[in-house]
Amino acid sequence: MSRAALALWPLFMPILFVTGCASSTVTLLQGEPGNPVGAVAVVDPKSGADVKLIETAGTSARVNGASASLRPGDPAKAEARHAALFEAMPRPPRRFVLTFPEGSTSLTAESLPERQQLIDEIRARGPGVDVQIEGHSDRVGSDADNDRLSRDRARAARDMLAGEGLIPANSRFVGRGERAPVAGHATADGIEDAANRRVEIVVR
Amino acid sequence: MMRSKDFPGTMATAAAMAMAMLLATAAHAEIATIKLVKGVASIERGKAKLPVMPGTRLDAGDVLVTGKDGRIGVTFIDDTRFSVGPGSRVRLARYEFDETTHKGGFDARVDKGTLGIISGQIAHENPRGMSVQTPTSVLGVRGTRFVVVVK
Repeated sequence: MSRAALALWPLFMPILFVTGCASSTVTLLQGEPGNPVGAVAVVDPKSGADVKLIETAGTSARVNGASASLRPGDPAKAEARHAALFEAMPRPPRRFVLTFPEGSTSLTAESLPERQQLIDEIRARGPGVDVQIEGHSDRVGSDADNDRLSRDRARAARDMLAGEGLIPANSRFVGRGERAPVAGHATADGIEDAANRRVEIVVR
Repeated sequence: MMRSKDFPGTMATAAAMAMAMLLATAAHAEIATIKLVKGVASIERGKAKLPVMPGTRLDAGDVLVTGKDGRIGVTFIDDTRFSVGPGSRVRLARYEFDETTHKGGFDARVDKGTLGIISGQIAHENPRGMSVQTPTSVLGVRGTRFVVVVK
């Protein structure tokens, strides 16, 4: 190397660091049980257009800007390589539905097993659990009454959990009145519908 | 006279303070909760470096940082989940989610280290809703479970 090149060497260092050293690899894995394999697109940072689509589990790609070479691989081996990483992955959120009699904020008898499963799930998750509680009504009664009733149902569910000694700090509750019926249960106004008289709870 | 002269100024100050409080509230909308921490880990929020534990809530703009034995597990309000591996820096550059319509946008940036991702409702609702960037790439998340490694 000439003296001049040696003198200039420090000037090139940052360029080499940015373009030469950093390398990014993406590996697609199987979906969780019951979920399909998805896909990851390699996007050209300049145009925003997709340049490659990775859609087979086990496939890796080393990506540099718009260039990416796909390397197919054994999904089981890719899984094993990242096993420690997924040990620290939080459990999937779980959903519960509790139902209520017309105009009431007391649980139906049919909801009692679901109530127990909800309690068990919150206990099993331990610290860091958060609970999202959403109350609903059917379309009997005025909009304003149903807003109030749905909120009272959500509050009743929260109080029930508090009574079990489960008051996650990160819990939220909200009433959505009659505006969000269960799929397939969108009725005309004034019609009673048992499936819509409910509280939906997400445990994360 | 003093009173009538000072009144608009006081109102303007009060309005400015109210606006500042509103903005502060908006900037601190909760987007995720930390579920699991192992080894050395922290978050950077602006210039502050904060400790993390299960239950710690995150804001858009936070940076998740792990030491060489550190790990962090996070669940976002749209059900997206992250597992941050050792020696990592992951920035939650943009996060918007409407819990009613499930529409939103999520850009994460992996400066270094390893990130495991299981996408949630933002990517499910809009194939262009979520991206993961690294120093050399932009990845579009199309509803999936995958790993990004930046060395």
